[in-house]
Amino acid sequence: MTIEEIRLSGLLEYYILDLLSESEKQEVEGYLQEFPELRKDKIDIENALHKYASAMGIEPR
Amino acid sequence: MTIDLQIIELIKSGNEQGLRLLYKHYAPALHGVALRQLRNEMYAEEALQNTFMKVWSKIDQYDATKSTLYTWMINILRNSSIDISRTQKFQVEKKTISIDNNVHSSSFTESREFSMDAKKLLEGMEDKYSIVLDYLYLRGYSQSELSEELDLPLGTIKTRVKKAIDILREKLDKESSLLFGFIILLLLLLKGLF
Repeated sequence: MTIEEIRLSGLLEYYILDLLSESEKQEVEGYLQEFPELRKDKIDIENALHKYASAMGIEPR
Repeated sequence: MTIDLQIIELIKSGNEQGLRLLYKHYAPALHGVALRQLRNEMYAEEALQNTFMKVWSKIDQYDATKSTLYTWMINILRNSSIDISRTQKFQVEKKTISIDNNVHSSSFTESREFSMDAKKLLEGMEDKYSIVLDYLYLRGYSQSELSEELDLPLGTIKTRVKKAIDILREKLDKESSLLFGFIILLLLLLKGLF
């Protein structure tokens, strides 16, 4: 896959959400090694989910 | 994120201020997820405490090249919530009124009354996308549970959650470029003034 195909595939999102099988996870880890630019995408996705969870957050009592 | 670096350094040096900062920055997000998963305030707080204790004692296991601090913590929290939900005590109480067995009647899990931040972030996102993100990410449903609950194929669940995250990223990108534009404008104005 090209870097653009990986971005569009959703694999990074599914990896972070833990929706992948072990072999698919390894595939994604391989892509992250092969294309270091993808790490920025991965951080962006994690940050977006963080913002989302914070916006939906509930203060402890 | 510099605040993360600061927190990590403080915790690594055994400074409790690190724990305070961690709590201040992450408690509402983590607690929101624990509460939605366990549907009980007392157990959610237990999961939250376990998570902070683990971060405090296992900070050396955190690898910044693998994930952000937040992602590392949310994974610890999810595992802690799963551990709690498997205890006999939880299972027994689940059958009584203290744990809300029915997701649909629970005020905080089903509430569509969002905070201002959430409204802004979710504005313009169709329900079909936001619901999938909500169930998978905040309520801890597995993709097969959700597929059954919403009567949708697994592939559709995945496509929709990807789309929801794309929308969030686009929104945050726009927000940060607006802020950047504003700062530049402010600098130009100040330059003109002095």
